Amino acid sequence: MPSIRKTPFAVLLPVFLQACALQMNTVSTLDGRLEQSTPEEVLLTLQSLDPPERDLGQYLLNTGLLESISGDFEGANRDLQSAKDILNSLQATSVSENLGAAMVNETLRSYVGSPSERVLLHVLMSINYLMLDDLDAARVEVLQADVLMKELAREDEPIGQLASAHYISGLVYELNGELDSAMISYRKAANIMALRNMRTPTSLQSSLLGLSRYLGLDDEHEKYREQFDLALDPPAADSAEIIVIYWDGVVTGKRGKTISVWVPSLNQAVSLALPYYPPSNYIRKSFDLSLAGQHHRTETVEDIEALSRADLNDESAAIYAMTLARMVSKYALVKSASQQNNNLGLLLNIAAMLSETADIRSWNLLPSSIQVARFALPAGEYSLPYPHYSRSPQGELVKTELVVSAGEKIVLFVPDVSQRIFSYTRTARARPNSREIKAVE
Amino acid sequence: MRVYWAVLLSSLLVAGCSTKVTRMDVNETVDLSGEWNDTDSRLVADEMIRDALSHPWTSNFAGEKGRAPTVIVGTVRNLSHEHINVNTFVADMERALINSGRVEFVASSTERGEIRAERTDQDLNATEATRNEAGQEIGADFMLNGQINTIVDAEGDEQVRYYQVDLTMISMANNKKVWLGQKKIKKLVENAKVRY
Repeated sequence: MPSIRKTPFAVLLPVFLQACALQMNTVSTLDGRLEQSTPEEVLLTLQSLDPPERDLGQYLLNTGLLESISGDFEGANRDLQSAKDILNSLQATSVSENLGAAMVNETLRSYVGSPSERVLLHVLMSINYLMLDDLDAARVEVLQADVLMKELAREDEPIGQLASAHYISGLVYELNGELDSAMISYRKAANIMALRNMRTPTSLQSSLLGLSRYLGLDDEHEKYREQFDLALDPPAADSAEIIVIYWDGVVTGKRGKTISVWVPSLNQAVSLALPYYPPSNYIRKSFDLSLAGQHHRTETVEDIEALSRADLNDESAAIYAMTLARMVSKYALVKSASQQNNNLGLLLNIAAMLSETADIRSWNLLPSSIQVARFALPAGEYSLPYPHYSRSPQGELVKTELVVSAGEKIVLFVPDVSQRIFSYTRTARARPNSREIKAVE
Repeated sequence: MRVYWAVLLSSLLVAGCSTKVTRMDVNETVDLSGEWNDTDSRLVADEMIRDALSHPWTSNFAGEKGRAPTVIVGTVRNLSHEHINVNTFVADMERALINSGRVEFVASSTERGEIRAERTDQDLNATEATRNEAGQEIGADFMLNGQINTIVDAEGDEQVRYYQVDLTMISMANNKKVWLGQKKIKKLVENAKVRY
């Protein structure tokens, strides 16, 4: 039974929770700031915060992403690996956190990330390892993403199934000379996009056409030829292949809505707080490159705006059920206190209302969309629209022109918000045993 | 009395929050996450050392050339699902094989760069008597290559992890494979469904 001696606790609890909510709101506004300023500035703001332990996973996801798009790939992978370890360790259901969510609010749970975020964590780490010129480590991440997507797979909906993850897997396998595995991954990427009614990007079309022909999958090759209106020309001997991974915009952050009403029949004020995604203001723009007299444009392989909403939608039944349970438990607590002492009941009612906060935590610095392009480029030296950084032989990141040699495969990572281009080059002789697609005639 | 309880409670809280360190025997097995750990690395090293020394490739070479074979460590690729540091068991193998007196190792390609830079520096700065000349390196007779592969089967909270480590000793003279070492490890990992 609540007593007057517990009143200070009941009053102080919402004050404490409001302080946490304030920090959560600060983090949730960083997506807007990222579009206005540099990733380094946003990183400084983020690092000035002291997140509670339950929000550490979200904090590290965001710092890791900011470090990544700033070019600090080692630092990024350190933070992202820690985030991965934390999120993995929190997948078991917590008794105390569920109790806290049922009594106070959802933010008392540890941040575990949505299914898409957990897969995207591997995607980003894989890109980071590529930019660090560590293809084997990038391969580890795509294997982990594959296991995770299998664990998350459901028959009814493609929750946690990401075309971009399969596309990057295909790319990593291809760079590694494992063309049969690459074919499987590209096929999965195309299937997921078809399931989501998305157009297959030209780069994915050409990979499916080229690999199905090279691997002797004649029926499948014929199917793709009929499906895609694309001429497949083998790259010229003096050219390299350029693969562009473009991150466009910043995903719309979650917001919370709180409804507080006085219910005369209950003689209490009742509060409900729920997370939601506001309408997206994202205007898709592609990354355009004009090189060697040819114009190339990136196309969407992942719509993260849609993924985030699908994840929240999938979670909504559980959120509504918990909100209802919390409303009932708070009502019972206030009623019981009111029967003992009217003032105590009033105070607890206020505390119950103030403590009702929507959980708006998310990996809110992700891009709005992931886009890709792939094309052949004659050997030579090229200027790019944003400053280009590549690894020197000493392993340092240096600002330079894009130097292209025959037979190379060059992956360009272009985060729109940082307006920089990072690259990974796989030279033709790096893997002597690998089979090249261009060998197909 | 109230002060006594407050002190007791504070002590318990402080004790609960402090870091605890327990020294362990390096051979003791502790599996925390189910991922590759020091025990797996040790098992691989033990098996590979035992296998490498029990096969006749060293004695065949010594019989033919009249000296112990020289080995260079090439690439041991991690093609597994985990970020595994392969240097631990490769270093264990190197140490055991050198100490057996039946094999000699030369610096790997990554180690060579630093040594050559130092030799160039000696050329300029060391006295004639202590200077080491370039062009006196020993060429390796064999190269040790390998890879770690995994198969992971996951269903709900359970995972079966299968690791296979393959090491190959290849003759530099004719690409002949003279020794193949293999170690397989299988684990069932059951993740907790509920936590406090």
